[in-house]
Amino acid sequence: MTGRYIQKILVCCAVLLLACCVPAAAGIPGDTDGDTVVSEKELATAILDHLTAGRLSADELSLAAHNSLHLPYGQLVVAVAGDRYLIPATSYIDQKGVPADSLIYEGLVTKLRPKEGGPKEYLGWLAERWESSDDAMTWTFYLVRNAAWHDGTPFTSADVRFTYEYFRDHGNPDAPGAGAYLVNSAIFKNVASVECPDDYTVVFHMKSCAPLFPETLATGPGIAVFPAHIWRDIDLPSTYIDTAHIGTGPFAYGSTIPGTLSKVTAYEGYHGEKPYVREVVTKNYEDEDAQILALRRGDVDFISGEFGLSPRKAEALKDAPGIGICRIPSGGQAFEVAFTSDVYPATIPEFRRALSHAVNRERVCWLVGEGARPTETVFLLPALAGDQVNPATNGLFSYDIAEAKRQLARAGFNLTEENGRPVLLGPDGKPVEITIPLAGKASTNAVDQKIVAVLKEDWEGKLGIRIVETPQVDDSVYLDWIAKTAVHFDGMPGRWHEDIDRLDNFQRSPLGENYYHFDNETFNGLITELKSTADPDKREEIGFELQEILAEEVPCIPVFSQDAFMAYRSDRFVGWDAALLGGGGNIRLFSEIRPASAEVGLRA
Amino acid sequence: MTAMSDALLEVRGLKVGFPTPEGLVRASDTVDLEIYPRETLGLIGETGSGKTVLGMAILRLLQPNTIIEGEIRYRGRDLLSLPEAEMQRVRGREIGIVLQNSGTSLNPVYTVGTQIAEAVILHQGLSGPDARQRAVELLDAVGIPDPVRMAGEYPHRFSGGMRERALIATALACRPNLLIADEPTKGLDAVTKRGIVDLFSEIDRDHSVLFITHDIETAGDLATRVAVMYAGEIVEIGGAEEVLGDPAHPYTRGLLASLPERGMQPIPGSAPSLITLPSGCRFSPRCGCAVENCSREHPGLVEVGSGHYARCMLYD
Amino acid sequence: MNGIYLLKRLITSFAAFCIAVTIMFALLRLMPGDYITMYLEAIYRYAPPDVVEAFNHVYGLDRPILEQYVIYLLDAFRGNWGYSFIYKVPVLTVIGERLVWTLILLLPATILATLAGIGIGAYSGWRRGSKTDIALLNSMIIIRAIPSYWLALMILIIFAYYLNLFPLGGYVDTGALTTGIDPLDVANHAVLPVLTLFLFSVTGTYYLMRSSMLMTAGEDYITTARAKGLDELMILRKHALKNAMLPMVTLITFECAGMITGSIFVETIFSWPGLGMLTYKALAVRDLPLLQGILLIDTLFVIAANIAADLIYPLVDPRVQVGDDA
Ligand SMILES: Nc1ncnc2c1ncn2[C@@H]1O[C@H](COP(=O)(O)OP(=O)(O)OP(=O)(O)O)[C@@H](O)[C@H]1O
Ligand code: SF4
Ligand SMILES: [Mg+2]
Repeated sequence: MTGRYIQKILVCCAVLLLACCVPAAAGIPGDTDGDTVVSEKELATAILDHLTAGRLSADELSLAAHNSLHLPYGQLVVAVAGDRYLIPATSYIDQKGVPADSLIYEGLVTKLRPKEGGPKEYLGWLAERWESSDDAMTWTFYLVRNAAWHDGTPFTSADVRFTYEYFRDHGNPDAPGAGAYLVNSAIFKNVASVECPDDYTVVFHMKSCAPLFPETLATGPGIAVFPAHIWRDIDLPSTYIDTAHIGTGPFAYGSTIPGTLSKVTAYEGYHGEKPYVREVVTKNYEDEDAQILALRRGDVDFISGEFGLSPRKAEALKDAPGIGICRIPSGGQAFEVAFTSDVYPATIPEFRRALSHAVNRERVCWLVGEGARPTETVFLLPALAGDQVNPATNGLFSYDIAEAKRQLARAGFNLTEENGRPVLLGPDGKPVEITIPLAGKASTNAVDQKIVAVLKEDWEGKLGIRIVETPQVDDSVYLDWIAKTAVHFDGMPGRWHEDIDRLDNFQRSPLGENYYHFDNETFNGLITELKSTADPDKREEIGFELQEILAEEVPCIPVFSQDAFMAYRSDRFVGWDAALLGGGGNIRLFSEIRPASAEVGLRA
Repeated sequence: MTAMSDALLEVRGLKVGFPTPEGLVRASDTVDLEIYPRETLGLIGETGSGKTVLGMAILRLLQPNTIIEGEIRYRGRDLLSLPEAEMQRVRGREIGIVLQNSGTSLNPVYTVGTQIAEAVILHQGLSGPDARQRAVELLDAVGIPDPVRMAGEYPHRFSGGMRERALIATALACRPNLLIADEPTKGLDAVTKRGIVDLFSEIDRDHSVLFITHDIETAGDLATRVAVMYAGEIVEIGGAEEVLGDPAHPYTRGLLASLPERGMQPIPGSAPSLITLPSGCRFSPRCGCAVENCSREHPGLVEVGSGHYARCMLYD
Repeated sequence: MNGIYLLKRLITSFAAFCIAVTIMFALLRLMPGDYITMYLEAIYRYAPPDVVEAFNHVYGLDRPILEQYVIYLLDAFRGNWGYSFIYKVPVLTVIGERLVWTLILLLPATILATLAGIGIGAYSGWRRGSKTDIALLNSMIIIRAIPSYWLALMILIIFAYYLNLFPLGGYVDTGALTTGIDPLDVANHAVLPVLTLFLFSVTGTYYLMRSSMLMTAGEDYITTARAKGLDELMILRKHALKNAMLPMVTLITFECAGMITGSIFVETIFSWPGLGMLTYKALAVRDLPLLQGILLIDTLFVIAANIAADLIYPLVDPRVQVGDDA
């Protein structure tokens, strides 16, 4: 009796399990070889299947045909965290340029994630190719010829020039309603003039050598080109409410319901490769847990939290039926122990160097858990910076307490003992005491606490450096705090570690103090030189040299970076990994994924 | 005492107890009394002796968890066993009551007229305007000047004496046979008090009145008969002249002796707790005439004159 | 007399408004951090000083503080509340749009909670000590003890996710993008947030009403009413309820004023674009014009509620005259 009962339950469980697994394993109907493209032959087979065996339903056959003909199909619902990620009622243009990943607008170029150890790569959007003069004083962009605005107006070089001029004119602080334009006009600050020799060529004349102009156009909020024929007549952009959102991107603006939903539709006349999905709906979920529930229930197809899902939550989703996880190496925050180089004892380079051997990265990563990877370089993250990382500087900040002690002794520090506990006396004979302020962001706090715990073990327990307090300080006063404390932690977006140009973080520029109050003449000089160097080999050489100085001077000790996680309905769409790893949220992301379930077709 | 069929109200062996965390408060213990048509029975006694409780018990106005035993016969019907709905028909219509605290006994958010009319509408089925008219007449009858205007005023505009009158008007609104008035003269100045007493001497021509008071003089003026309560018991009852002129019970004598015009000699000691009562005669710890037996045996009511009873060993 | 009183009341309210506005102005400027610096730092890690300067110049933030204050006051009264830094539209437009959504949740929730709180509170207090009273009291204590964020999340998980009865957030289904907003669909989305808000606020009303009723039930005039021969229901309805309601007037008017501040928890969990969320976001990025606008509106509502309470009180309690310092 009981035996049969248990058997029954087991069978039920097995059936349930199978039922759960089926959608997870499903691919695009008709795609028999699993390359996510339905070839002509596969389509023919599918049609026959449908006609004879009835294995494919009419809807599934329709999906296969759309895929085979590369026609947009179905609706993809993406959860966003916050209404500012929806298409707002007013245009983004006045503030940050159109966000590079908005699907509707495009810039001239975008940047791709390099392969690990590989070179930096750009991808043309509205520019097919580009070149600079040897002195990097002029940049010429050759535009795509078949692009048209979503309202049918052809896209020409005049639009590019207009974008520049619009920002220039509205970036003047005394112009009416100008304030919001300043950020963007700053991006174009170095441009002296723009010239259009023909409809498909744009020449930027720079005020000074600009070897990195494409980089400037592609990073940060970036600059998207916007339509001259619409914006020409708008004098007061900050009071203009754009309801049409005419761009050139793969998707055209559909509709918005303020604060909660917006929709874009595949643009028939797109100049590049057309998307496979017909509609992308963005739905706002302010709370990450609500996003996760929505994905589990199938209300949405893709979630990413605000800055990627937390590893713990991604882990919990891993085995959910019909859900896939993608992981973007170093896509989250990067953490470092930073010194304020003009506050004792961080003023002593040997002290900083010694401590670079006293950070137990493995242990921190173990504590932080899933998704944390130790940083072995002096600053740049290999997953983002590719071949710009100087291999000779890798592994120089290895964990070695004995070495740390030796270096401290050499610098005149004296390790003694008091009541059985180690106490480090400084060169001045007084015990070394430090305060470590923690930034007030809740998301990074937990991580900070873990780093503190590990540091205390080594710094207090073995090196005798007393960590007096670790106050939580609000973001708005964080800078004031770190200016008066020798050591702090910092978590920052990984993209600040992606390029040698980002090493200007450590330059003491004419504009003033840097984050680390670090001031090394050679370093400052090299950065200035780098900014005006166009030759790639020379740039690499300078970049390597800069990293050597960092290895020697240790203004900061990188600890680890976090991978970012996103989750999607693997039973409905395929092709996520390629898209994500290629660009990490660029305009192509939703162009490359393909519907795999007829269900998404019925939604649209 | 035999049951007298012509009594309007007969209280027989009434026991009222309030359960409290400290114990049962025996606020009435085996109370017997009767009220005849058109007579005024004065009920006197020190504070806390159980007068109010007795008055409220008659109309079953005590809180729901009160333990009540005995019989309260109104025109032969036992009020204690009436269903609530029928009891509601007795209240206000057969028996009216003027509560002790006139200051707080009127609802502050309704006009006085409305509150009087309410009872009239309920019991006599008068329409709104008629009821209001009646309310004005009643206010006039109890001696409120400018009754038309005052009927439209809220209680907080009434003085103490006027509130008392308004409450009397409310209680009399449906011409009840019995009016219970609980210390209607308390806290009033001499002139106002006189007015109220005069009002009652008019009222008791048509109604039976149970007039509860501290004030022995007033009781003497108004009452045909007087009952004296001590610690939940009736200790003496009889014609007003007999009881007040020739008191039999040492407690009554003590009360009279404590009047200002009779030398103002207070009774020594204080009233006993109603939870732990003294054994034997309840007055024995304070009684000047106590004999040995007093604290051992509990005296019953003994007839000391015609219709005049006292609860004392001295008359056994 | 009423006219003079009203005038006086308006003048004092105006003074209160000015004081509140001044304090607000000072507090907002004492907050560490500013919009443009934080914005730039989030993108570039550094705020180029020239951009910050230019921004401050455009928004007049570089002028002497006294001048800023005068301009701000004048603008506040002229109804020129400026443009939100984040949303780039007039502050009043943003607030107006959010206010509608906030009210869609809070109006029914507050009305229901007030009615229910008064109803069951009155019953509970009238029947003090009865089984129903004790059951009600205990459940209210339990609801009250649950942290609000957790309660909201649990309601979402249970009713939306596990029981699959309601949507998981937002105020319309994706279908609305093509068909437009359907009031029924909005109602369906509003059920859970309204339920949550209802539970948040019903307990307070219940407690106050219950204790108010306890006091009233012991009043002598209730005994008088009983002595007149009224039945219990009539006494409760006519005599007890009206008196027990008196202390509720203030509570209700202030709850109404409080409505417009929205509820950050509910709006976050249910992704409802209301004023609570807006305030939080404006505060986080130091969107000064928007913050000033929101606080101005809040102040206006509270002052209006105050006047309303003063005007309503005499209507329900004849002992209080318009103009009395109640
Ligand atoms: N609800 C109650 N619970 C407990 N004890 C009560 C209650 N009501 C009255 N008592 C007690 O019963 C006793 C008699 O009270 P009662 O009010 O009848 O006195 P009284 O003779 O009317 O006094 P007073 O002259 O002060 O009005 C008092 O000791 C009082 O404390
Ligand atoms: S019985 Fe005794 S104690 Fe009681 S009153 Fe009479 S004489 Fe006094
Ligand atoms: Mg009394």
